[in-house]
Amino acid sequence: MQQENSVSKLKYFPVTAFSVVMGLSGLAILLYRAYHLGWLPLWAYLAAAFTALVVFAMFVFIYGLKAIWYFEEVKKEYNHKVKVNFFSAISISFLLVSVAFYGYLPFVSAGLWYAGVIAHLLLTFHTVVFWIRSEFEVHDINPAWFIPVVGNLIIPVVGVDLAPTWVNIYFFITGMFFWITLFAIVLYRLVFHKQLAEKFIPTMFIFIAPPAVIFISYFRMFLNVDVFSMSMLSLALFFLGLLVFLVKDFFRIRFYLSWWAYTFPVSALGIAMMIAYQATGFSVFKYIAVFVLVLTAAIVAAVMAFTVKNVVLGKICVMED
Amino acid sequence: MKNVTVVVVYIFGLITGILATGFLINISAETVLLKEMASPYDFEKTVEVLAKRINSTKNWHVTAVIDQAAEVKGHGEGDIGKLKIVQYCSGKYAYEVLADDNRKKISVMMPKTFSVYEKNDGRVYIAVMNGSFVGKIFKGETYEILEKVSLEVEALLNFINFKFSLF
Repeated sequence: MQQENSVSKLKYFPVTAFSVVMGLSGLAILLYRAYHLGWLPLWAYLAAAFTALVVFAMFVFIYGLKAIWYFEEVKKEYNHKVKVNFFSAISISFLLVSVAFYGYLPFVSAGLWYAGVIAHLLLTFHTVVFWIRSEFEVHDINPAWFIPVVGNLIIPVVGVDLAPTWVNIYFFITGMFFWITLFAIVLYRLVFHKQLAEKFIPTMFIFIAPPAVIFISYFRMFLNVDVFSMSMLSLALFFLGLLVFLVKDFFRIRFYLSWWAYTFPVSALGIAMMIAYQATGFSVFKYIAVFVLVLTAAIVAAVMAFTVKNVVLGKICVMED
Repeated sequence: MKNVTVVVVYIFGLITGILATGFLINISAETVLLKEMASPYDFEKTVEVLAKRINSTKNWHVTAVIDQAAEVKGHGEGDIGKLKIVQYCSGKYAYEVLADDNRKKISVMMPKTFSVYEKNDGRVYIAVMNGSFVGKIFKGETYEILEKVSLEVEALLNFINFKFSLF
């Protein structure tokens, strides 16, 4: 009976679980920046980074087993209208764990970065081809569609040290282009069509991520704080403010694994704020960064607690639509 | 998939991954270890600003500014164009690192260096060892000291962040 249960858990282990790795590694990167600035001790970063690494390795192993034993299930997810976007969460996990360890184990980080870049390149093409070939209605789109796009923007963060500039620009501009075009469609869908399904409401947080990651990548590539990058930072702040005004919507929904979508974008904003503070020395960025740091830690702790509770109750890894 | 096939695929994937990673890290070594940044100022001004920023930062001082172009010419070779090497050091951090016998070998990287040069495109560049990368090779107390050094060096170079100044 127990064996049957484990078998079905493996069969329904969702690709969306990789958003947990995104959240944990986002927090680790944020804590590393805080350590670098002398605000927090090293152990806080190391605890978060190694937790992210262990969870990442565990999920890669479990999903690898699923791919071997239940290939048809993986294929179904790969061709699913919503879940296809979460496949990129696997390659993004490689990239984010790479960024998280760049400050501590740079050679391990480099290996993860190469694997992540190759996987993400292929997954981006697959996802865009899937979008083009499938027949979507406007209400099918949701902010999770940004996930494959945001991944491209993350690549230059470590890539600036590992690859030629044109490689980084390629990923940066691909990410920016699709962020702008998809954003217009998502906004149109949110304003003029029916509300997002409850499950996808947390994905609204993803709005914060692209401009924040653009700020970080742009700074890493061009060592510049200018009108463009400040505009991106301001836009990320605007989305945070917007979500604060929508906060009621987030409290009324049940727990889904998609709650992890709350975590990475907020971390990205915190990292961007710390870089802005370091580059400009403006105290306002420091205060926002500290606020976002505390907020991120609280969100990750809360989402983690809900996740563990739901795992214990057997509500995760069950058959979904 | 048959178990044997799975094992073979995994082993093949592992070996390919190890080889590919080693190969790719090898070709990235140059961009990883040396960083080159465009300066917003002309050659002399860049050297002057760097020296001034180093000397006005607590615990840091310039130990020498070497005119490498003159050095090369003085030894009978041709003109390499404008190139100066700014050597600088922190007594505080040098003591923290070198007081321990196990860390004395790190002195091979001291004093720290900025290289300032003008290329044929007319632009002035600053080159540095990627200290934030090299420093990560060490662990424990050395890692923590070099992290602090890295933060202060980043502050020394802050002026290049504003190529098109907004503020």
